Amino acid sequence: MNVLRFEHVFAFYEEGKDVLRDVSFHVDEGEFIAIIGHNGSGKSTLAKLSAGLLSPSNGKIFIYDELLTPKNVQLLRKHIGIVFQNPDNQFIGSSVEDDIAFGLENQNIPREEMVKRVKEFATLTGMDDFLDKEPEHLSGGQKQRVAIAGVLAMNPDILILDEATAMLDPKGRKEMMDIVLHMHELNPKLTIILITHEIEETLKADRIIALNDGKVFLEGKPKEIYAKEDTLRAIELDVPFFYKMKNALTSIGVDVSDIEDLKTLEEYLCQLNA
Amino acid sequence: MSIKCLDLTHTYQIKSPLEQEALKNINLTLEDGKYIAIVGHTGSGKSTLVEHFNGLLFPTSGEVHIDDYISNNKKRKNKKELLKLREKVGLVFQFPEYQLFEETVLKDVMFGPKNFKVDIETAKNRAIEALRQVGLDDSYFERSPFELSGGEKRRVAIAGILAMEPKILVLDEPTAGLDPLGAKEILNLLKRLHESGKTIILVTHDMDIVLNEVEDVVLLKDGQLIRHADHIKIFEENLEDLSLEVPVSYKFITSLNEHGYHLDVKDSKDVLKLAKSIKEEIDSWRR
Repeated sequence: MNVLRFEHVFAFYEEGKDVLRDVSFHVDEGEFIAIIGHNGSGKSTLAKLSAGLLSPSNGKIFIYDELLTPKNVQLLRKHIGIVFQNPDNQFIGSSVEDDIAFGLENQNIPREEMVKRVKEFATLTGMDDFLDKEPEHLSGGQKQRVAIAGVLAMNPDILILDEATAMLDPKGRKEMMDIVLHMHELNPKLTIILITHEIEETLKADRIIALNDGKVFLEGKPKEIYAKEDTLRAIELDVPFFYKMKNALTSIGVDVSDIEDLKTLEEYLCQLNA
Repeated sequence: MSIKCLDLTHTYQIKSPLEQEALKNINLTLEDGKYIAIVGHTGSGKSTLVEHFNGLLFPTSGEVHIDDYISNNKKRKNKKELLKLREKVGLVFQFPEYQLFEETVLKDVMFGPKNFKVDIETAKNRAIEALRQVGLDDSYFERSPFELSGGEKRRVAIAGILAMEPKILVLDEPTAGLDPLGAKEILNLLKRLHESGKTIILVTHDMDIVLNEVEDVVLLKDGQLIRHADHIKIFEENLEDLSLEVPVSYKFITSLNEHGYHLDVKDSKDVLKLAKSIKEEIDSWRR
């Protein structure tokens, strides 16, 4: 089943300046989709449209095969959880506990259930020792973990991360990605849409959608997308080191076509000197 | 003009319950004309260190010598001397685009030099020159800084500092939060500025920048200097213990070298060259 489908979607913030132009794609249940593209390519607009925070100027968006309309947007939005880029703009509560509980309170979840879920997701994100802490005592990475805990506590079917790791240091980035991948393992039905500039984060995705200038530029499995290095380079998008190396070796006649990750490539090349 | 730290110690909120020693006995000489990265985990003291370089912070004990300016813990500061120091050392904060405020790009960039009592005409010429340096032409001058892209805004903010014509340019995380294209533009700009003779000091977490861009590295941990070395030698340290990420290219090269290859880590950006070296090695074993 498609959990999300765009059919010929156009969108703008200012009349006459389309930021998305004729975008069509679909996402299946449990898929991990990475969306890449420069700033201004339409990535965040796509996230806002998916979450019903913006309406398309033309075209159709379906969530669980149901056409998204102003009437059902509130209802369908429940399927979706979204984490944004700036950790400081998303912290609403006066403590970690409050912040994770915020969304649940809005849904009138009974108190016992709420306490249970706050605890559960604080633990999953490694923030259970910080429940009474105020935001000013947290690092950016910790605040983002709280943000993701709050979103996950609402049991979304689709988790959208809109450059959620961009403002974090390498350690914070890795911790966030580990949480996301761990959640996906725990709940294989959870659909993940990762919008990112960190191309190494896209390696584990089932599929990548590359946007350019408001349009779908390329779409496919990581190995299909990153085999087209020159095509990506033409619009100045980078390729992960593994694929650069694989493509370079292939181009000079070293056969590594069956190898699918850097570790295996390393091992293969090392054992040649036995 | 070099920067020398002599037993530099900085303690925040001294003699209060929140007292925190951010820098401990740092001894360090940063040479003129170098391209230097200050590296360390969040909270290691990187920003605190560089804020001593243009007199935003003063040592709790010890001294910092910036050219002929001596910064220490004496209470009375000579304002004139301090102004002179800030003209020599330009500091670009993290997310500097948050500080843009004027109606037009040109006015915003002129704000800096105007503070140093430069006449309007000179300030304008310097602003125009600075905007050219960061790659923004006439078509940007009269636009509002707020309608620009993230990368362009950041370049306007850097131009604002360049217009003061500092000899040393210090930047706190200049590529943070930018998309790869925006980051590349900033790094190209810094490379050009360095080649034109400026000392560039940047604070970063990004070990790819350390591997591929800079000359020297200052590595901090918990407010202490761990090492000041050539940018390749710094990778001898256990960086992962310091929450820093070793670039995948570096790991790949060193791992292959441990198994009989002879690759040069300096080629980490030139993947085709690396691939050719790998092939040569494989062919020689087969023979």
